[in-house]
Amino acid sequence: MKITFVDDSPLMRQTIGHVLAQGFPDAKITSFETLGAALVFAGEEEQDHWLIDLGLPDGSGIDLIRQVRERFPLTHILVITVFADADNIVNSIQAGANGYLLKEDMLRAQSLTSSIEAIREGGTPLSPVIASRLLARMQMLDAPAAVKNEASRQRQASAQPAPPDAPAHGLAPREIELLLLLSRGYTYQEAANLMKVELGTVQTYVKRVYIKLAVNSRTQAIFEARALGISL
Amino acid sequence: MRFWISLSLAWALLAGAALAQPLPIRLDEAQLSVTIPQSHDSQDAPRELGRQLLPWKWDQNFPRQQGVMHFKLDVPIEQTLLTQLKADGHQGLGFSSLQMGNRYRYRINGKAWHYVGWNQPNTQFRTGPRWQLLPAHDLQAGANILEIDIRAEPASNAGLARIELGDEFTSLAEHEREVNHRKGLALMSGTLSALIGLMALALWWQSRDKAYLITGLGQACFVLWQVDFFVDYPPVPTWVFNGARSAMYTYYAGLMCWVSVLLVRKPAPWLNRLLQIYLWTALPTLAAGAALQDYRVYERLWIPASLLLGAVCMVRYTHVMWKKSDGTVRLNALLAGVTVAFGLYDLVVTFSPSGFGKANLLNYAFLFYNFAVGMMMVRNYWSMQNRLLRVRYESSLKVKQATMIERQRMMQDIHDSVGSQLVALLSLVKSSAPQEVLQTHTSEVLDELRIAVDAIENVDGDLAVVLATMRHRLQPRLDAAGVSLVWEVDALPRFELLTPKDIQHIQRILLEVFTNIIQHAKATRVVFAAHCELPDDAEDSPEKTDQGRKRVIRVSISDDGIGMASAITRGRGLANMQSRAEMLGATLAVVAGEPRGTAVHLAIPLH
Repeated sequence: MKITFVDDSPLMRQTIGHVLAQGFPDAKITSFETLGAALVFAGEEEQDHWLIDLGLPDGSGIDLIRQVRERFPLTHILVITVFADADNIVNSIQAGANGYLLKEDMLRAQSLTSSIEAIREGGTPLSPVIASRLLARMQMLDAPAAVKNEASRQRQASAQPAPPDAPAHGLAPREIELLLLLSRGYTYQEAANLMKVELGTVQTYVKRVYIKLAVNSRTQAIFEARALGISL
Repeated sequence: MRFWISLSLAWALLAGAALAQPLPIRLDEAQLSVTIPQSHDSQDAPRELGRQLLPWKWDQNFPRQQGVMHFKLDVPIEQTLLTQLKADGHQGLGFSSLQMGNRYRYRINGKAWHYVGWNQPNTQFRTGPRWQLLPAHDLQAGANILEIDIRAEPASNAGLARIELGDEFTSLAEHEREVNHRKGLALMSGTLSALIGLMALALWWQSRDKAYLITGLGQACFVLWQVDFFVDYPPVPTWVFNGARSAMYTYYAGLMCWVSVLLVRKPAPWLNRLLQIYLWTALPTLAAGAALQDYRVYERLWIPASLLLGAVCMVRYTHVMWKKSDGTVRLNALLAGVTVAFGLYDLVVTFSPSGFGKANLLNYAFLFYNFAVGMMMVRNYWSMQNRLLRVRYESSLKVKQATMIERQRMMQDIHDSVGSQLVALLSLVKSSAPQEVLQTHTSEVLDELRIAVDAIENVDGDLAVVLATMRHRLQPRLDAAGVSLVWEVDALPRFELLTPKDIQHIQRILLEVFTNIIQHAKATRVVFAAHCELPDDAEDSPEKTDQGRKRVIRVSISDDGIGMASAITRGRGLANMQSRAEMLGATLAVVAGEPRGTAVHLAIPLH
């Protein structure tokens, strides 16, 4: 197994390296403290896990996420963060990250390895702010498609019943329902109970939302324009 | 000797000139008969109409009918004129008319016919002046008979205007001047209009302002209308061409009126209704008129209607715009007024019998008016751009101000909470405090910092997200304390004015409650509920329900712990919570739980 992590704080780097070596005794562990060096390495060798700190001295870790994701679609990419502030996390997911780890949870080998495996299985637990931000962003991205869909639905209304398909990259009704519950503070398990599905189904929904957001990142510019209230 | 010869020659010439018939010869009367075929095969006898004054319009006398007009005109020509023609080596006399059509043929003194468009399927010989040559060898001294047969299409402005016979070259030159003048004017206004139209459409594309789109469409109609001046044999049947042409004019006028209404920016429902009726009914009636080949619906209904509507809109426009002391606007208003005046003048002249074939004054007015519209458009665009820049500047100022206030608040927070706690932590480290104390204290500092970060997160006024975030942060601690949490949070209405400060108050209150539960209450189960409802007192007074926006968000946290004896009712904690609730404009109640424990109720009004 190959694991690479990027963090600019020497103390943190030392701790993470130590904990990772404990948690994954057979892994080959590489670390970088700058974005530039990591970017060069990212293009060369495929890793199983990338753990990336966003605030690096020579740029944003989001660029690294994007590059790794483009080159190696199957690599597992996690953001390591202290606060999990929504904007940074949502932008990382959009760039192709699979989830995030709180630095606090990385201090013990036991919790770190289980977190990494848990994320690989079922996706990161989404904080309520991130869930609500994801929902808002996806709905903004969907707006044109939804309008088009509505129009075509109306056109077809007289001829035949509307097909129940959602827009190509839009959220499915169940995914929206889940994000709404998460944004109101319900845990995955509680949400699964309320939606009368298995926990695994909820985790699948979350993964799907991640993928849809990353696919939609091309329309990021449009989203930003709309968020700023610019209409052309 | 030579001198005398030249003198007598000159004298003879002078005398000849003096005696020769004066040119041009004006003909404004003709013997007229018409043939109207009742069916395709029948040979119909001509109907005699006797002597008629020129100009003579077919549509006024035989609307909706096809037919042939046979004009016979007496042309008295003196011998001197014939001699003169020969002496000058001229081929004949030019004869011109401002209007002669649709298709025609002519001959003099029963000689060979000259055909002009006679066998063309579609003709557009309506608006242009015509010039033909009468060959000298066909002319005779005394009475000459000029016969002109004109095939009239219905609704094609067929007829014959006055005829002038003149010197071959002089009259041709005059005719060409007239033609060039009319075509030149049409070309100029058409080009200008096309430019303005394109500009308007480009501006519309950028700004999506309806007024630009309508201007663009109006100008497009105008450009198409000008095509009429350049097409003698259109590729479509004459009546279709005429229908399209009249529609283009009608819609040009209607759309420009609409633009003026939009530019005035004062509501006038009656005028809007009038415009709607105009724009919706014009096309069907014009199409019906064209299909029935009846030109009157255009001439008698839509030209007057367009001019009257134009007069109303433009007078209103002039009146409103004149008050704005802006040069461009005033010029625009003035030209709009002039356009209507010229149009009304044309209306009077076109309806008078002598107006047939004359160039319209309106064409000049349109040239200037379209130019003014273009100017106005550019001016509006600039002023809009300037406004936009100003708004952007002002909003960026506001953003800067808000950023500054927010920065000050954050500095304060960092100083009060995190800063002082870090200093305390440092002193603990220095005094070699036990490992657990250090760990607890460090976690607390981290939590403080997290709360500060959470308060900054933009939650779009969604209080549920604020509550949920609190849970997200506290859940590990609750788990560690073995407290199970029952979460019942409804979707809450947006709270537009929720500031980071408000969020912080709510966070602090909840943190206080949960800390108490974890540390003192000895609870195993906590129920957290939040929902939105109308205040109790709203139900008994109907007025208050009317302003039903005064809704309340109720948050309650009840535990099954040791109850009121726990620390929450003691010391600074409760007073702190109360004062924060007050700052929120909320009410806070701490009561004994059912059957045991404590319940905290927080009611936050939405405002």
